Amino acid sequence: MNKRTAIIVPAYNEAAALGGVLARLTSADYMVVVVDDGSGDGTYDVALNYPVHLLRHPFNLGQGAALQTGLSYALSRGADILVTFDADGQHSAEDIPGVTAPIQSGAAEAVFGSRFLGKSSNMQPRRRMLIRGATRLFTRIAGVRLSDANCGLRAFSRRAAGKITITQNRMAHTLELIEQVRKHNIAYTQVPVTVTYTEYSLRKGQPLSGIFRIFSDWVLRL
Amino acid sequence: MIIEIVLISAFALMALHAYRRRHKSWVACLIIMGLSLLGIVATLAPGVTTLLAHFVGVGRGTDLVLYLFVIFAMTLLLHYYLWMRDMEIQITQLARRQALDRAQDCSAGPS
Repeated sequence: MNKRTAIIVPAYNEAAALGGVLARLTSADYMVVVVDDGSGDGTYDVALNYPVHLLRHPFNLGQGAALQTGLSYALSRGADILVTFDADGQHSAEDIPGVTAPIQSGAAEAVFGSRFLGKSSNMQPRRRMLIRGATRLFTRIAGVRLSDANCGLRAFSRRAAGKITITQNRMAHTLELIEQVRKHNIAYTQVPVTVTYTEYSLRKGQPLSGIFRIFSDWVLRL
Repeated sequence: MIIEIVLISAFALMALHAYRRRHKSWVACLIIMGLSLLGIVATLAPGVTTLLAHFVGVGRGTDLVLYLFVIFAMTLLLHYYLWMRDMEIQITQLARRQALDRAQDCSAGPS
C-alpha cells in the first residue's frame, strides 16, 4: 500500500538553511508543505525554487500556529501520514522512514522522535540536562512515557492528525501535542532520531531559557 | 493635607469622566461614580474604612483598601489576559484561513 506522506516544514526567517533542507526532502517522493510564518528574510522566495506546497502567514504567529496551518493543509490534500520537520537543518531526512514506520505497520498513530534514545548527537551537556529534566517533569504530570517531549520530528496518521488541534501558537505546542495524543487515546510510540546542532541552528533555535517560556505558556493555557 | 487634595481631585475627575460618558453605559457610570464617592468618603473620614477593616478582621483601614485594590487589579489582569488570548486565537484563525486560501502548489516544479 502506497501511503501519501506529507512533510510539514514550519519556517520563520530560515532563508539561509531552508534551501538545503528542501533539496534533501524533495529528492524523495514526499509531499512537502512549507509554512512561511511571516518571515522577513526571503524564506518564501527560497521555497519557491523547490517543488513544494507553499503557504504563508501574513505575519509571524509562532511555530505552533504554523504547524497547525500545515497539518490542516496536508489533511485537505489527502495526506495519509503527516510528518513535522524543522526548517533549520537540525533533522536528518534519513530519519523520516524511521518515524513513519510504526504508522505504516499500524503499531502507532503518533510517533515522537527522541534525541535521547540510543543514537548520539552533538548536544551540549547543559542543553541535554535541561531538556531531559523538563521532559521528565512534564511527562510525569501529563502521564505519558516519552524520553523527549520537545523534538520537532514527529509523525501522525491521518486519523490522529484530524483529532489534534494546536492552539498554542508558540513553543508550548510541543506539550499540547502530547496532551492531545493522550486525551484522544491515540496510540503513540517514540523512535530515536539524530539531531545535528550546528552553530546556525543553535543561534536560530530556542535559547535554553525557552523551556521556562514553554512551561509558563502551558501552565497559563486557560 | 496635600494628599487629601490630590486624592479627592483624582476621585472627582474620575466621577466627572464617568458622568460625561454616561451615554455609553449607565451601569458603568453609576458604578464608577459610586466608587469615586466611596473614595472621597474614605479620604475625608478614614475612620470609616478602619471600622470596616476591624469588622472583617483587618487591622488598618488603609490595609483593607490596599487588599481590595489588589483583588480588583488581579481580576482586571486576568480579564484582559483571557481577552487577549481569545483575540490571539481569532487572529490566528483569520491568518490561517488566508494562508490556506492562498496556498501555492508548486509541487509540479519550480515556477
